[in-house]
Amino acid sequence: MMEGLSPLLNGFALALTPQNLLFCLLGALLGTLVGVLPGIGPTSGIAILLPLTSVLPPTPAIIMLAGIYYGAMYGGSTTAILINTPGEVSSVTTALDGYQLARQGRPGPALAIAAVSSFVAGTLSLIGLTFFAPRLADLALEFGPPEFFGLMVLALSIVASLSGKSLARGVVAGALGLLFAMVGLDPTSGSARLTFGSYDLLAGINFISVVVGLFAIAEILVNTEEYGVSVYKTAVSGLMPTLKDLKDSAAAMIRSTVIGFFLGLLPGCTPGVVAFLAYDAEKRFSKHPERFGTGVIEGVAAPEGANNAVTSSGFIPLLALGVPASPPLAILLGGFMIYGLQPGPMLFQRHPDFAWAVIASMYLGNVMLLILNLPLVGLWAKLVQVPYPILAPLVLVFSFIGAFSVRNSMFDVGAAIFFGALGYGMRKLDYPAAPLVLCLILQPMLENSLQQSLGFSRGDFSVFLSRPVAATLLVAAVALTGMSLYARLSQPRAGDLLSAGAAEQN
Amino acid sequence: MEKYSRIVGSLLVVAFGTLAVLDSTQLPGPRSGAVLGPGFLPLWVGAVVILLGAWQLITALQVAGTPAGRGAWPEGKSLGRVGLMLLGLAVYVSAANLLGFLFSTWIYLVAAMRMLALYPWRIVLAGGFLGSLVITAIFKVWLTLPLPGGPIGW
Repeated sequence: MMEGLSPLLNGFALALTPQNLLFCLLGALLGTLVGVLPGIGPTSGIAILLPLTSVLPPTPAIIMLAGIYYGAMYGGSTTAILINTPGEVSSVTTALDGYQLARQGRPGPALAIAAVSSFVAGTLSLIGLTFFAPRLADLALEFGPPEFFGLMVLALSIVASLSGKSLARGVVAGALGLLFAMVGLDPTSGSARLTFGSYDLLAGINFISVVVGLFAIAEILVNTEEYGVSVYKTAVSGLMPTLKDLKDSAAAMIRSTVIGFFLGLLPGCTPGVVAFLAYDAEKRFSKHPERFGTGVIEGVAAPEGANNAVTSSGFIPLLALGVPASPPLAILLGGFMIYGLQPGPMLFQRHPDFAWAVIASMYLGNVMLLILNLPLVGLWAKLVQVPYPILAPLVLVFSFIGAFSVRNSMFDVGAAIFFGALGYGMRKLDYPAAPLVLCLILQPMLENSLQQSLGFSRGDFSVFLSRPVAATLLVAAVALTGMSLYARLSQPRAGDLLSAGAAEQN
Repeated sequence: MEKYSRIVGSLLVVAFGTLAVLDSTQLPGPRSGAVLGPGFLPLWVGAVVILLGAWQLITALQVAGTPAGRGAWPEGKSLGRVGLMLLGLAVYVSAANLLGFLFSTWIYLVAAMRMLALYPWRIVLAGGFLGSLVITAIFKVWLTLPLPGGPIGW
C-alpha cells in the first residue's frame, strides 16, 4: 500500500516547497476572485495569466493555473448565493436554493456549506484521481457519440422535475432554451440559423448574457416593484451552519461527489450540466422534494459538490490521455505544451515528479480554499446588509461587465437586457427559468452527438438501442421522465408547492 | 389583467415557435454525408413550441385570473418603476459608447440610487463617483477589459 503511495508522497514533498506552496495559494486566491467577479471566468482567468506564468518553472506555473481553475469553482457560488448572480455557469443551480437561503437571513450557512461541500467533493475526487486515473480514462474513451446522446437525453429528462406547477410551461421554457442555443452558425453545414439577417447573431447568443439576464437583471426588476424595501426579508442570523445543516447535507455531498466524479471523466460534460444532474438526483432522493427551490441546504450542497468533483476528475483524461474535458482544461493543456510537457500515458513515466506534484498541490489547494473561504463567510454575508438601493444598481453594473467581458461585445450586453426583460415576463407568467438554462447548455452537445451518431450509423436510429450504454441511458431517461409524470399525476398538490418554490427561485 | 397577460404570453410563445419553423424551412437540406440538415431541430422544436403555446392559449382563455402575489403583475407606479429601471439600463448601455464606461456608470449609479431611495444628492454623487471609479480601476485598468472608452478614453 505504502509503495503505491510513494509517488504521491514524493509529489507532496515537492508541492510543500515554499515556492510551490506560495503559487498554490496564489492560484487558489486568484481562482476565488475569478469565481466571485462576474466579469471573468476560469477560462479567461487562466488565459490571461498563462503568459504571465511563462517566467516561472513548469511545476509552480501549472500548480498556480490549476489552482485558479478549482478556486473559481469555490468562488462562483458566492455571488450566486448572495445576489442571485452566478459568477460561473456551474453556479446557476446553486443560486436556486442558495439565494433563497440568503433571503431568509441564512447567507452564512449557505456559503459555508458550499465551501465544505466543495472541499469534501474536491478531496474525494482527488483520491479517485490519485488511484484510478489511467483505468478510468480508458473507460471514458469508450463513450462514443451515441452514448453522449443518451447522456444528453438523460439530462434533458430533468426538465420535467424543474418545471414547477405546469409541465407544459417547463417544456416551453426548455424548448425556448434549445432554440436560443441554435441561433448562429450551424456547426455542421455552416448555415446561418435563426439569425434573421443579423450579423451580430451569427456568433450565437452568449450563454452568460442569458444567465445574467434571466437571473440577475430579472431579479432586480422584480424587487424594484416595491419601493425602498430590502429583498432580504430577515436579519442575517448564524454565520456558520448548524449541526442539522451538516447532517442534512452530508449525504448530498457524497452523492454529488460520485455523480460529479464519474461524469467529469467525460469530455464535454461541463460542470454546469453535472450540477443540474446532481441537483435533480438530490431532489429525487429527498423526502421533501417540494421544498427544493425554496431554500434547502441540500440544494446548495449538491451542485457545489458536483461541480468541484467534476473539476478534479476532469484532470484524469487530461493527465492520463491528454484529452481536456472542458475549455479551462484546454487552456491548461496549452500551458503544459508551453513547457514541452505532453499530457498522456507517458507523462507519469517521463515527468513523474511534475505530475504527482500537481496532484499533491490540488489536495493542498483544497485545504487552503476551505481555510480561506470559511473565515470569509462573515465578510461575504455582510454584502446582503448593503442597502438595496445601493446594491441593486451595482449588481446591474456588474451584469453589464459580466455580459460584456466574454466576447468584449456591447451586443451581448444588449442581449442580457433582452433576457432580463424576458426573465421578468417569464416570472410573472409562471414560466420557470431553470429548464431554459439547462437546455441552452445541453443543445450543442445534443445536436452534435445526434449528428455524429447518425452519420456513423448511416442514418440508422437503432444505433442508440444497439449499444448497451447508450440504450441504458435512454431507458433511464424514459424512466426518470415517467417517474416525474407519475409523481405529478398522483400528487397534484406537490406541483403547487413546487411552483411556489419555482416562483420564488425564478 | 392576469388572464390577458397569459393570453399575450401564449401568443408570444406561438410567435417564437412560428419564427423558428419559418426560418428552418429556408435552410438547406443535409450536406453530403450528413443525415440531418441544419433545419431539422429548429423545425421540430419550433413545432413543439407552437403546439404547447396553443395549448397554453386555450387554457388561458378557459380559466380566470390567478390570485395576486409575488408572481402577479404590478400596477401603476410599481410597473412604472420596473419600466424605468429597464429603460435606464438600456440608456446606460447605449450611452456607454458615447460617454465612456466611467462617466456613464457614474451617471447611472446616481440616477438609479436616487430612483430607488431618496438619498441626499451629495451622497449619491460622491458614492456613485467612488463606485464607478473603483469598478473602472478593477476591470478596465487592472484586468484590462476593453470597456467602452468614450471621448477621453475612460
